[in-house]
Amino acid sequence: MLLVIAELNECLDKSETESFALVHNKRKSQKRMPKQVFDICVVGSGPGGGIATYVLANAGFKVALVESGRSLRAGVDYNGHGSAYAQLEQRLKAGHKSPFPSVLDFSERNHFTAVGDRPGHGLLKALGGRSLCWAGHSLRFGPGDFKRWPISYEEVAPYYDRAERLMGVYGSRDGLWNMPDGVFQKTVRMRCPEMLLKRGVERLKAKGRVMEFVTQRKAIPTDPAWKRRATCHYCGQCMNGCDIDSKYTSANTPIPLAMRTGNLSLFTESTMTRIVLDNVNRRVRGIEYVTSSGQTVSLQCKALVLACSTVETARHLLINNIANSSGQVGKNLTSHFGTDVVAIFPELRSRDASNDDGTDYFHSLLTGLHWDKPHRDFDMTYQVQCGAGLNPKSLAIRDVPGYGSQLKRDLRDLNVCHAVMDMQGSLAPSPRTYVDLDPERKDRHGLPLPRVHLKYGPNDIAMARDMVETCVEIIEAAKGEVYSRPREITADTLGIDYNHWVGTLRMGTDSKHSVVNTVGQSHDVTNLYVGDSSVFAAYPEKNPTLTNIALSWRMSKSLAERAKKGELG
Amino acid sequence: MERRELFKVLGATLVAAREGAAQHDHGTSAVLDIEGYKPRFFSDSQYRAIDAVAEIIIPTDSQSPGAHSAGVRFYIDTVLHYADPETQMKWKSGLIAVDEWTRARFGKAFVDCSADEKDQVVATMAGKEKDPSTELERFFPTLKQMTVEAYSLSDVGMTQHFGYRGNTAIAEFRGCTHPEHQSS
Repeated sequence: MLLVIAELNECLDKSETESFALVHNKRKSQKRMPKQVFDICVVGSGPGGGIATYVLANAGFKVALVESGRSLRAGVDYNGHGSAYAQLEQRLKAGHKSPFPSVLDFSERNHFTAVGDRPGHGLLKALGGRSLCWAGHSLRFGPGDFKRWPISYEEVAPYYDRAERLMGVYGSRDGLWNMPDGVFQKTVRMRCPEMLLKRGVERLKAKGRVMEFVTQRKAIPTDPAWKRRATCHYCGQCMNGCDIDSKYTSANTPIPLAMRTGNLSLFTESTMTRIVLDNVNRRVRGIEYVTSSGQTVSLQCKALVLACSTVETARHLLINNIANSSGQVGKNLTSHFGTDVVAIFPELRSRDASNDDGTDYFHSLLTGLHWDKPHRDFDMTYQVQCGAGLNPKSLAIRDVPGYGSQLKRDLRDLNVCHAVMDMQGSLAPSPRTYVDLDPERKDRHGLPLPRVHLKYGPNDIAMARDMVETCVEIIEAAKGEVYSRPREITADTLGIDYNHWVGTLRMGTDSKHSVVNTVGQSHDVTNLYVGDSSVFAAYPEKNPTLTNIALSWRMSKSLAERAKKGELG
Repeated sequence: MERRELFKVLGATLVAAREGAAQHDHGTSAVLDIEGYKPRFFSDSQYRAIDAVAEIIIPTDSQSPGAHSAGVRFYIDTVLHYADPETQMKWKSGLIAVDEWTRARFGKAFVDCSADEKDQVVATMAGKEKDPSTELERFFPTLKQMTVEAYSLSDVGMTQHFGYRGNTAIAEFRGCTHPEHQSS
């Protein structure tokens, strides 16, 4: 056992050894080798790429993981604690805007061109990708959601089980048919204002309204008996990067585990620039990547897994002009969109600023809306993430009129007694919402940047109207007051979730209308697989990452089985 | 990999992570010499002006110490020292507008005004907060926003005013247990 610990420290105690960088450097010194040959190459180390690496390395394959960012050290490269005043000079001098070191320092904000209704694209360039900055919300899609898919809930359920066990997910068993319970650790309770929202929901339910108000489910361990990662210490910094590696990320769980098999070679600060195919474009032979020093290196593989993100994977297929006989690459793009309603509860105005940090802002969820019977004005549905609690580092209510003692009092009291209701609705797929290549703008390797097109339609507007009306009803039923709400819903008042894009490489059984088959394998290029959320066939209101991980696990298992049968050649 | 094996591996991860948790520090109090700080963006008199205006926006009162005690002036000067030219210009011209107003009204620069005169300036600036039209009025939201941010992030604001007890490591998150807040 001691030996095991020593080995693991080599992989995991990043603050001391930076072992990832060491491994990487070792590789670098070998790169004069004319050819590097692997069984499988995975590109992108976010939630999907991380899990594929883990499953395939454990199945005994020699895996290369190619990631354009570097490995970060929890608590050093990102740490939401400490004094803003003490860190201010050093942080601003280094060109950062916030006094707190955050994983968001590694965001790539200009790596796309926005067209239409203000789309965004949130890349995070580091080992672990956006699993570093995700909130951990882990909600299973339900049997109703999979009705729009070519696979059923039952086919994915075993992978949800595996994913939740590996990730360490807390939640309460709510018994909801279309958001099934999973493998849960003990739940994290709501704060006072959230409990009052729940009270409002219960009152509306008593009058016959169909909705549910439950605690959030997150990939954050809460049970000290669970031994895989540290138990959460409820400091509320999840999305800036968990400085004790309690929240699940690709970098703190599947990648170190894959490393331990001895089958993984990690190429950080290595950006894929080309996918190399055979001369009939039916099989991938390998890739080329550029190192941080600008050197181009070839890497051969028997199968390629792309997990670069919904926007980036589509971009690479378009640049290389492959796997697109359907013409669907980049199409069917969708995400979550929404708006906010803020409540205040006068009965809580004078309460103490208790420690409400918890597992970041949203501890509760309004869900179960329009699952059974669709709304007459719109298709699909939305959920509402709810949060509360005073945090002086990011005051939820700061736009308070006046000055002097009254301003001071209002800032404290309003933040203590507020709750935010944050809508997350399914954006209706549209021919005007898609990814293509920018004809002019290029990245530093001379490759076209992606263009992200977004256009809201009547379905989206109608859904947002219903959300605002429903939230206002709940707040009133809870004897709260509406502090702020959009007055009128137009495309201008809606915001897109730039981390939730899915759908550009839609899965399907028909190669004319989809890009990959039901296990994530390209219809056209038989040893090309996709491990990110671009394969989603349809998008419910629930957060994408848990399903991304479950599907990538399922894809990897299918790939491993084919490879073992010798079908990859 | 078998589940059992996974437990073995990750059990060790936990040891490493726990050791890290024990060493790391939350809510460190800064050893910072705000009194001795020399402004880099503002002139000395502008620095005093900002300190005085911030103290009117967030005053020391029976609730808690205000912007001066919190060191808000230090925060604002540091941020502006590293800010883009457009933001810097906004503050420079805002301060000029303040001085122009006091010179026209009281015949002296803002820093030389009495406490009562300074209050009058801020009252005028804040008069049309929602719909500012003059240079002076437009400066107020800029000034106030940064003052509130600086105060909220200071040790004084965070702990003494807001009574914030978070940003710390705790074993269990209790949440709301008040019987009167539970749904029936």
